[in-house]
Amino acid sequence: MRRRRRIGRWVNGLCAAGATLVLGDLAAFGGGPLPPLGSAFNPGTGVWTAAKDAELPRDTSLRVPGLQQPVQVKFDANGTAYIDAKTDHDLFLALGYLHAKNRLFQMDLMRRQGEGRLAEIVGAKALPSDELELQLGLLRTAQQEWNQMGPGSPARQALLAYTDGVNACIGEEKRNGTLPMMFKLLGYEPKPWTPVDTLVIQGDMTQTLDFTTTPLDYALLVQSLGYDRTMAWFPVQPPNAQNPYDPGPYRKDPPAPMEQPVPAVLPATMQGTSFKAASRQIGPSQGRWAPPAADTAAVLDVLERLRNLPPAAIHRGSNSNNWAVDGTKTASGKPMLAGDPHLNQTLPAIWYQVAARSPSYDFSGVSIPGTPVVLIGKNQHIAWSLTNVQNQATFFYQEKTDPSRPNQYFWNGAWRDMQALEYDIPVKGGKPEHLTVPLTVHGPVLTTKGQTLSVEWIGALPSPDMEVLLGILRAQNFTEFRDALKDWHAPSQNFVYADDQGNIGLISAGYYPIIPKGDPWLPLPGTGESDIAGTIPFDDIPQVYNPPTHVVFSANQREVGPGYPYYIGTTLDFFDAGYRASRIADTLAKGNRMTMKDFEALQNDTHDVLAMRIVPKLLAALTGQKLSAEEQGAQRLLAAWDGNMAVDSAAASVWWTFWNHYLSDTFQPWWDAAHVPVDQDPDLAVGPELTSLNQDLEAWTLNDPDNPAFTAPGRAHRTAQDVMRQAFSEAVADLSKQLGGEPASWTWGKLHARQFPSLAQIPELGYGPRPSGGDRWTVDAASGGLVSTAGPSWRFIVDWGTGVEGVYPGGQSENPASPWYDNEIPLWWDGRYLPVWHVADAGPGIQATWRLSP
Amino acid sequence: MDTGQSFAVYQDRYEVRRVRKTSRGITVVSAAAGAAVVWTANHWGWWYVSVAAGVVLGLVLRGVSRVVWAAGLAGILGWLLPLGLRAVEGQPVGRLAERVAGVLGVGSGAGAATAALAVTGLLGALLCLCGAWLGAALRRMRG
Repeated sequence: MRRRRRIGRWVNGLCAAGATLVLGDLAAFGGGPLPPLGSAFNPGTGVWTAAKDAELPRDTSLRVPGLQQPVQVKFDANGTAYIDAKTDHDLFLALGYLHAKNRLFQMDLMRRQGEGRLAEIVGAKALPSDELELQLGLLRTAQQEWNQMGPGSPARQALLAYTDGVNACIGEEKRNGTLPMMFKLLGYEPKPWTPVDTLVIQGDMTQTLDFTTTPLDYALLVQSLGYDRTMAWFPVQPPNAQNPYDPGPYRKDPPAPMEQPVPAVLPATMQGTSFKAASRQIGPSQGRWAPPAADTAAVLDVLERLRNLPPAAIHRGSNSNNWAVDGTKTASGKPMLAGDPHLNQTLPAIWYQVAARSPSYDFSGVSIPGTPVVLIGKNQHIAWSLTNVQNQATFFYQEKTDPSRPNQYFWNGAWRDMQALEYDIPVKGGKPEHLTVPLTVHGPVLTTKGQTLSVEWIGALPSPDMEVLLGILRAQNFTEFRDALKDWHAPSQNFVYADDQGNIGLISAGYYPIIPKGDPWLPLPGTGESDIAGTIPFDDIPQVYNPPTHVVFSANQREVGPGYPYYIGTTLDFFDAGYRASRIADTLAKGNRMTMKDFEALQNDTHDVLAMRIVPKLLAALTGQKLSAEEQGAQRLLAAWDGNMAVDSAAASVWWTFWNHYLSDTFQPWWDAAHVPVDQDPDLAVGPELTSLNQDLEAWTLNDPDNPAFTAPGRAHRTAQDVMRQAFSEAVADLSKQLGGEPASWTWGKLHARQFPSLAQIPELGYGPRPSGGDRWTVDAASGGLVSTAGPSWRFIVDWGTGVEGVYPGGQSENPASPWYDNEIPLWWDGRYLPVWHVADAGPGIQATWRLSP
Repeated sequence: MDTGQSFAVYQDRYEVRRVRKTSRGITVVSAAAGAAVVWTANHWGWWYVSVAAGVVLGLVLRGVSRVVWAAGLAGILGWLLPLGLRAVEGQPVGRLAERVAGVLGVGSGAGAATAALAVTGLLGALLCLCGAWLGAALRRMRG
């Protein structure tokens, strides 16, 4: 009996120990998707510390190691920070500290994305993204940029100080157990910041803005539709009316040399990622080779893998607007400037608003967390904003290989050894994944499935963007502004300019690669003859200064007219269709004695120029037709409509649905007949996203209604009017089925919404979907489909005579419990703005002051 | 009902029942002391002290119900009172709880926030209870 009792006690003890161990294991290490529960949820240092962090700042003194002098940081009621530093070093250090204090998880996520280290924190599901980023080489480029900075360069000094600031914050938060809650929920701590991390984030942005897969799309189109039809429907020059901001005259000069590409042999080991490279060897044999058509398997393999990147990694929507007018067109008599970059709209937002002052700098604007500069803003004398140039920056090469010569490719008359970079990618909950990246002279090999395809991307070349941006921050006039931009390589950007002396200008800075032979919009032969020969010289790139129109503007349209003597890209790769540019050009041309209110109205304008052009043709096509009661109702809506895609407009719904049907009714039969591989490449699906098709259909409807494209293959002859009538009828039936009721009740807001997803892709941390006006072609752009996730990420207006204002859809803090997480969204949504101050003006509305001391 | 078994079969259980329980007063004081220790340790991020506190309670207190109550209370109070204090100080604990629940996939709204807080309290209680079970088992093994 005692023995049984003893056994019972032991069993009880073992069960207790087992339960404690299991729970202790979960608490210490987590399990599956669960974070380490003990450290994540304990009330002293777990996620709950975010409650204190969510409180608005109060007057306080803080010790920040590395500062040379005391620094004062003020916060206004909306969270904008005003840094007053006595040395340039301290300005950048304080900015690093503030960025980390407010956006550390966002910064860590962005550097991890570019460095291929996401799988380390989220597991194997992020491996495809990590592998692709390591292939593309953002980390290699960042290292090269860092190595190229001279010891005395302002950018190097700024990066070092900024890094110290970030690390001061990381150290402080680690010591206090107050790291942002996402670190605790994911169960890891951030590694120390390095200058290369900042340059990787710069690379993230370059990739978002500049990397395209369009040559691969073209290859699939050529294989299905045929070359002639592809080039007729996806031409180099747009078929519709355009508004180039630089109408010429143009010059043509020999190509200018480009910065050397990143060498394949890298000396460094970076944060646990090991590099190993074989030396280049030149083989003895030579040969002639004509490239085959791009292999479908190779193309689809690359496209499939690119779809595994995080949603914001490659920007697919429309981009941005900026413009300036000189004093002859403003009420104040001084120049005015506006800018609203369209990016993926996320929470936290991509921007952090800041003003800063030191002996060499005095600026105000928006910065990207992780970088020590204001990207869009103003100093005491000049103001600037950016849009994407959209010229072609990504070129794919079909390497000539031979199964009997493994790891070799044929280039410039000889067989060469590919170089190999070796990486070990850490994976949460698993073994590190080994990755080999073969390199040719063009760049990384992305696939060997069916064909060896490499990519040469201008964003992979080192670009001294930090140096340039610091130059802009210091510039006092257009000459200094332009001089700074000469060194800007990527991503190519339209820099609009206005100064306090009455001048305006626009420069489309960046590299414009010149391909001497072949069709650059298709995968090119890798044997040498189609290699990039240089770039368009800086003096020849699109640019204007104080034009006689008194207006400069860009909205991702082709910047130059058809007479421009260089190839810079196609309608699909990847200039905007031009509707926003047209609206802006018309408004500014008519504008007189303009004020900030006029600019606000234009930035928030939701008129669809394409609709304004096409609807009269549609109404004409419907005249005299027998229509149902619902069709008559829809017709009346359109007849009374001014093209405004307002949230409460029913006509907007009719228009949008009609246009989609019109596109589909015209092109889908051709797609079906040619077996365009939409299933494997959804980007090729007929719809408004294929920019060129909108331009084609617009041009044909307006000027060539009998175009053969309207007649489906093997079917009876049709004209634009026939197809429009069919599309209208289908649209009305569609809306009736989807929304029911009277046509007047089919408001645009029932079909269309905006959403700002969380950067961590957690639905509850995002905003929306919320019914919204606008579409992809309105100045107030809403891109990404019927639930738009891209659009104006920052609205900025400068009137050198009266003031400055701005707003962005988000807030300064990444802490979702903070009032500054999303406090500016209601303002942004309603088209309202907040004043943008310099440090010296930041008296009113100051909420708190931090005194930072060494 | 005659089961045909001798009284000795049940002797062990009767012995257990005969164990004298710790008084209520001592139990309450022990729970409070445990909560204070857990709270203090959590301030430094030492969540595992909750287990240790439970072990001590399990070793010291007599009676299953007393041990369960004391350890459960120490865990819950030691983990939730600091959050209550944060809320009293004006920190947005409720809003944060809702966001944490969202991250965990629980949903949104007041219910989800309550769930996040409940998970925190439950975790504290379970850690203490496991420790207490272990403590009590050790005491019994020691005789």
